[in-house]
Amino acid sequence: MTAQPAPTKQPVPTQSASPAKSASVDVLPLTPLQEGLLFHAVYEHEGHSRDVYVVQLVFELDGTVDAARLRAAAQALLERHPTLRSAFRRRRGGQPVQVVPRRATLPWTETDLTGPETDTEREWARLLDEDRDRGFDPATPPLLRCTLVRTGERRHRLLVTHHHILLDGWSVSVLLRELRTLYDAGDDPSALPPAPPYRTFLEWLGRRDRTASEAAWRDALAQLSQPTRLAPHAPDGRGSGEPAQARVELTSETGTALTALARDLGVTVNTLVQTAWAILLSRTTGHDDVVFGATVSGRPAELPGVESMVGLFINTVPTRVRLRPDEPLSGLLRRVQEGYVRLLDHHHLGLADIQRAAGVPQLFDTLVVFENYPVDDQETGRPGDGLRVVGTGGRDATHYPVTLVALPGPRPRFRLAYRPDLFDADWANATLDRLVRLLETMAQDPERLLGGVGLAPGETGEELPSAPPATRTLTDLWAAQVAATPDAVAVLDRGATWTYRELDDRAERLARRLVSLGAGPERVVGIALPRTTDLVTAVLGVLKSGAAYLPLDPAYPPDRLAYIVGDARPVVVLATDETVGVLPADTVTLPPEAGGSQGSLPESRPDNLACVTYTSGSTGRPKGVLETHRGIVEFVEWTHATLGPERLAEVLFSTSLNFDVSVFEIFSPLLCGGRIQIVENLLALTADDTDVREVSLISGVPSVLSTVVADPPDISPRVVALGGEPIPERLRTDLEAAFPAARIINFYGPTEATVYATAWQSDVDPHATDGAPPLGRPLARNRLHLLDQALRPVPDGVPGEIYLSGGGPARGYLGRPGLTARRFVANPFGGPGERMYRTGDLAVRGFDGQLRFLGRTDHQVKVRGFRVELGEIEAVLAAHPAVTQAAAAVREDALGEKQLVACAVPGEPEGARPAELRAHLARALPAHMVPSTVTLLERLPLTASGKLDRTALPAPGAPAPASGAPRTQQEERLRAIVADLLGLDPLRVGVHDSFFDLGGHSLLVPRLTARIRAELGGEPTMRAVFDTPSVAGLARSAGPPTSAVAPVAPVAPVAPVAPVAPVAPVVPAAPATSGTALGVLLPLRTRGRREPLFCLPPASGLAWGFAGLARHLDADRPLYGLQSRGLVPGQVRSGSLAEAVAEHTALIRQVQPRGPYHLLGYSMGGLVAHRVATELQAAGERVALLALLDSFPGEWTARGPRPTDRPAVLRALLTILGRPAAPEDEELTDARFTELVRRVPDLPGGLDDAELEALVEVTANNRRLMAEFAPASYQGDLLFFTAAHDPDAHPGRHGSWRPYVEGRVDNHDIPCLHGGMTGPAALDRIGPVLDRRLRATAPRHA
Amino acid sequence: MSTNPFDDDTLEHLVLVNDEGQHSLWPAFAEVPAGWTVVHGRASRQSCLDHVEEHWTDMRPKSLIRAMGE
Repeated sequence: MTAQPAPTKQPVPTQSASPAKSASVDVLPLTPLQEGLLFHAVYEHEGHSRDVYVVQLVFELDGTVDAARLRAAAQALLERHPTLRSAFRRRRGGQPVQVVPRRATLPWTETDLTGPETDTEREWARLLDEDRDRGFDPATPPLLRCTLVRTGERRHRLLVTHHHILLDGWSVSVLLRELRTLYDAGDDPSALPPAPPYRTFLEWLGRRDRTASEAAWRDALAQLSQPTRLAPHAPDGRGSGEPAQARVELTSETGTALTALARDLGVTVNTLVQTAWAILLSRTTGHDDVVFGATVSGRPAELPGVESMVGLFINTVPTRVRLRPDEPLSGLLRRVQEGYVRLLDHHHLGLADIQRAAGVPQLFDTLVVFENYPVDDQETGRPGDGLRVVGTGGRDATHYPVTLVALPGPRPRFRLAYRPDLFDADWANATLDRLVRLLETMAQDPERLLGGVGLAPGETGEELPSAPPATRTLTDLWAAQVAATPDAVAVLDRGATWTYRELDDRAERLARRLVSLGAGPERVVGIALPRTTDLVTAVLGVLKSGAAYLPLDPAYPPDRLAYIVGDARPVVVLATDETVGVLPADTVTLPPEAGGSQGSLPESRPDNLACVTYTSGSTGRPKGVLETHRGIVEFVEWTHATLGPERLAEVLFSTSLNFDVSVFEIFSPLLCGGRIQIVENLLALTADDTDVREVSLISGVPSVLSTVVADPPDISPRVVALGGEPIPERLRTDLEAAFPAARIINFYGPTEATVYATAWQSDVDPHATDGAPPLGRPLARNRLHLLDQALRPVPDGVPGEIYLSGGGPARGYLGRPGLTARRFVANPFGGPGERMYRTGDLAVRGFDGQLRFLGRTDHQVKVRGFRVELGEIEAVLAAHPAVTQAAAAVREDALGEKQLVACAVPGEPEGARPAELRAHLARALPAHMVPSTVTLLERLPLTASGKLDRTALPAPGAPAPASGAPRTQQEERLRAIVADLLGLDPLRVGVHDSFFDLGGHSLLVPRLTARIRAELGGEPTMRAVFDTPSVAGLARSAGPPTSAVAPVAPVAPVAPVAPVAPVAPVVPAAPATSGTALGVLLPLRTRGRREPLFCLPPASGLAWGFAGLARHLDADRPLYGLQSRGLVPGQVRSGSLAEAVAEHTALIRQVQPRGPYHLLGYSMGGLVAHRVATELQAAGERVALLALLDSFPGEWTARGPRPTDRPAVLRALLTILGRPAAPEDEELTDARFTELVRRVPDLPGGLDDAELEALVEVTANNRRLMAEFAPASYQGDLLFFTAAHDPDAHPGRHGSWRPYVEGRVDNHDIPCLHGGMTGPAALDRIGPVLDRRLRATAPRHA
Repeated sequence: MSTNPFDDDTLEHLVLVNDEGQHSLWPAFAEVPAGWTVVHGRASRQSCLDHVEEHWTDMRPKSLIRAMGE
């Protein structure tokens, strides 16, 4: 071995487990996969979670076993193969290396699990678990150990445990063969020829042409628009534990047929498996361009003896498959094989490098492993005293959510390993069944077109008995209702009431007049009226005339109304003097109170049009949906049968006529004797002066109802009907709390399917699990089909596109036969000649039978329940003469609220102004389609494949990432870590963006530093994150990676301050520079044009917990924490409450010299905030917001520990720091306190002894200052949050502030303890309320 | 996202018509459902859409046209 050239040599690190003092060692580079495995190993090791790459191999041994001989043979393996002795470390620069000591002793254990009292299998299982949990420290060799277990008479099990980083499966089979030979030979090393060394492979690897390989992969992955993921929303699950497994075995007939097929086509069996997996992924994800990981053997044929080398050769590379429904399976198989062969020479490139070359960060989340090792033919039945291995087993895993392992053979076997937190056994078994079916189809009919291959066994759509089609029209039903309840109140409009008879008389007269103007069946009459009783009579009058009504919401921009009028060409438009102005000048109009007395009214039929509703169109032109009487009547009659007249007795009419939800709100009550109450919108419910008291049913979109329920009105509806967008789980629970007596209905359905097509009702279709409500069941005569791209039903658990058939689908689009023929298509699952509507919506039917909405197949989006085609916005924007290119997207703002944003590329640099472009959009589009921002860009962001990258369009209010791109590799990697941790696209993370602005909270800080340590090396401190929370700042503070010792936080440049008059500027330094984690000013977000929110801390003096607020607040609002002086050891503490108040006030005024001010105080900080507020008011400043978190005046301030009672102070501080309380009877010593604080690896846990002591002193001091609290009276309203689960909490406790507040005290109960008010769960509730209040009260800076 | 067959210009299509005179685009790889007649294609998708635009001039179902006495 000495003759071998070593790349580098260095002494053994002193902590090495190898005792050999002489030993010089080899230091070798890592293969790309080893680097990846090392990352996972270190990550899991740090997180104290189980490393999934610890492999356990079990060999069942029969006959007599000579343990000493076996041990010697195993030790001999370690001596033969240096790679088995490798340890894995990082150099100072962070570069990983494998260090191979000269010698290592194989850890060897022998155990006897036999005996009358021993449950052998149970003990064995425990032994396996304990062994695995022991894991390996990658830095301590060898990463291999053996346990010989006696399990019976002449029966043993040999457990070989190793880290995957050492060996691959092929090597294991080599080692097993060698172990046998050595054992048989009685530990005679010469029984085997010298082993070809692994390092020759590493050297070969070092000689590869990396550029050529990168180019090959870039080419192979070109134009890949998206990753393929089965669990796209999987939480970070590394270390989530042992994967679950499902298995299946093919019949020997299928096995033989597949081998024959592979031979006939000139492909490998591996290609058959990969192709089947690709089809499965395609059908499951709905993509026709899929990619998954494949484990390749990585053993280059050109390397002599490579087949008997031991080490980690395998690599994981992407396999990309593009699928076409009109290609035969045989053609697809050949293409997959060609793709494999083309890349064979480049299989060695690391996955990270491949992904970088392709420009896609994460390509896949499934892995296919084809275990094709040389098999030892002499498995069993060897004579003599040789080692008789009669069975093998074991467990290993990968970190991928799903891994398919194929074990070839006469009867091919498959094992599907999956993360049990993401998938269940039903899913896994169904997936394997589908895989088997695909392979069987390949074997039986390789010439079948892919489009003819189905996943589900012979499904034909669901057969449900359905009601007969409706035979009456809306006008028939109305006439019957008027006859039944002529004197009942039909409409309540701002205090005025109308009976059925009154309404009918007016509608009838209007109808006669309309008929005289040419209205009749299949004709259209426009309605451009404000939402009053006139609107209702107009709708009824138009229908009575036989015509269809055309909603023309006067709030729409004139350009759009002009387009609709021109497209639908109404006979006449009903309009008032006020609304006539929005219509084109040549429109024929009629006032709604017009009437005629002569002539008969024409009869309409169920198949006649009832209304024409325009929706957003992707080509830039809105399209009119032709809805028939039959479709609407069937929906209305379903509501009558399902809800009954009581629930429809009092219905709010709050939706614009332009949305067909208004059909539900008008006709469902009016056609069964109910009453409709006209309101401007649902927010009227929450108005202080609302007269809406009795409501049986409210309907609206979830985003509006979220606002309503935040301030629940004093009503008790029996139905809350939601539609238009998915219902968040949180809204569901809030609705259940606010309206406990109400049935909640989740409606789903596009206008093209007439109002709604499916419904889930909380009390009729309860489902056991919590979560977002499912779509429910088809209503009325609707049928729903979930189909794949080949128009075949998808099986349960597989997403498909929703097609709707039966009674719902409308007639089509007005004047658009081509578009109609594309969307309303022939239905293979219904009666002869039936059509179905292709929705473009994706859904999945779970194994629980419930349908869940997944999203869109195209660029249609929903914003606050409105359906919007991004293409329409883009077309209008691009039509502006100054614009050459335009793009629109939906982005979430800092609050997670969806906003439309648009970007334009101007023709000339100064050619367009955003405000002007936005005005241009507003002229052509309804308000809900006008983007909140228009940003000018030099060019549109493109994906690596050259397509528009909508995800890279700037978010509303987000700082422009102009200067935000990483400038160094270190910044690039830090950005990737931050983005990954926060679940963001890295492109959205500017290097100057604060971690907290981006959504980080203090609990994520330890994870951030752990990731930086693991991936970049160095010793980043959590404090550094608070000091400089941006990628650029972290890169700076990390410094050169050699600086292993964290710098002590610099002392804030705040001079000791003597008590001075309030509001005097006492801090000479610029506040922005005083920001350190323990400084008096903690800048959590410094950017933004609005007035900052200042946060005052509890008695600990630490304001760190407020960091979690940043993501809830308007991105334009800065956020500062104020901290007690004295947290930096040696710094003087505040001498009195007045002094502390004066200091805080002065700091605030330094940051923001003039009001209005916004203050938030928590616990003791609440007392200080109240005092600061009154001091500012006394100085003539305006305080626009004072918000307190569980802070009380009076007797409360005197409670708590005496400042001199140190154990009591420590105990209180533990609570404030979120530590579990120490037992009551335990006298808390300083040492015990320190231990309890440091047990949690968060920020306080990282304080040193002096800093902890300073923290205790500050807390004791603050306790003393609290008693000095003597409140003045605050001029304004107080926003208050009570920790409702605290043992001290009682209703009305916030009332103790009333004497000190001139205005109202507005309390919100938060379900948490006093100490938990800045935890993420509490802030999730507090943040939005605060933000709403801030937005409402504070004007922008002029 | 993969292209829905009805939007996929690279596939060949058909134009189908039912007894009500309603037209449907249809990808040629899929079986023609019962009650529908092929009136155009195999042809390019655009050719099929052009055919629909040209021939489907009254979108009312035939039974309605008859009932309205035209």
